Amino acid sequence: MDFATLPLFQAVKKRLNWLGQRQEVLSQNIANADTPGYRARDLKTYDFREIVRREAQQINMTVTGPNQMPGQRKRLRDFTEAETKIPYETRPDGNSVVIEEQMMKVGEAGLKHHLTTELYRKHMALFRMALGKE
Amino acid sequence: MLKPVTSAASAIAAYDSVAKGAPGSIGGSIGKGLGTGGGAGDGGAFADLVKSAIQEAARIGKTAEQASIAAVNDRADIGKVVTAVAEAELTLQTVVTVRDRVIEAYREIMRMPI
Repeated sequence: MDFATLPLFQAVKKRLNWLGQRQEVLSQNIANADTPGYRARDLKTYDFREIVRREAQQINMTVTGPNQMPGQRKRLRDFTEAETKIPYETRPDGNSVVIEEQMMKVGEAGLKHHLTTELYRKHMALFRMALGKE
Repeated sequence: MLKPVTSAASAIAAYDSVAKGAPGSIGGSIGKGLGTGGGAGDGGAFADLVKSAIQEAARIGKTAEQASIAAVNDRADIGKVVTAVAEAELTLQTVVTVRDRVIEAYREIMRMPI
């Protein structure tokens, strides 16, 4: 019995991965709050189309003969980063990090992380209950 | 002679045979002696009840899982998810409790001196 392959647990893992990476990007923004010309970044939300597009980007060329060169594509990160399109404000030095905005996003990520882990915990408890160990 | 109970299903089957008053079983004589267990027509009622309860629990569990996946992917109403998961938890708890009680009752019957 492999619990890791259950759709729910896979979804939870992917979500936690995404939230962790988002937290990284947001803390990078805060670290660069005073860097001139730095543009605030954020992770793109992942949906089915996005996942398919990224998977398709990682397909390598097939080599059918010894004289052909394999066109290796570089390994992409799991989720795409992008510059925040409409930041709250941009300072004269070109820096678009607003601490309040970043803190709001960090709080949101924390809340979603809490929800995800709570659901994970709950479903694990259901399994444990069915097994007869409270 | 009755086999020792190993699972909920065999316990339910044992209950069933008790209710039907199967000849040669301990339960049969108990059922007749106490005048309980119902008629032969009601024999499958308890087993059916347990079966339908387990199926219902599985269905509710599935709904809760789907709601949870939707919530994880940011596509669900939190209220719905919370209620679905709580319902699933309660239903599973009920089924587990009934299962444990059935096995416990069966064991008690087995221990009964005749």
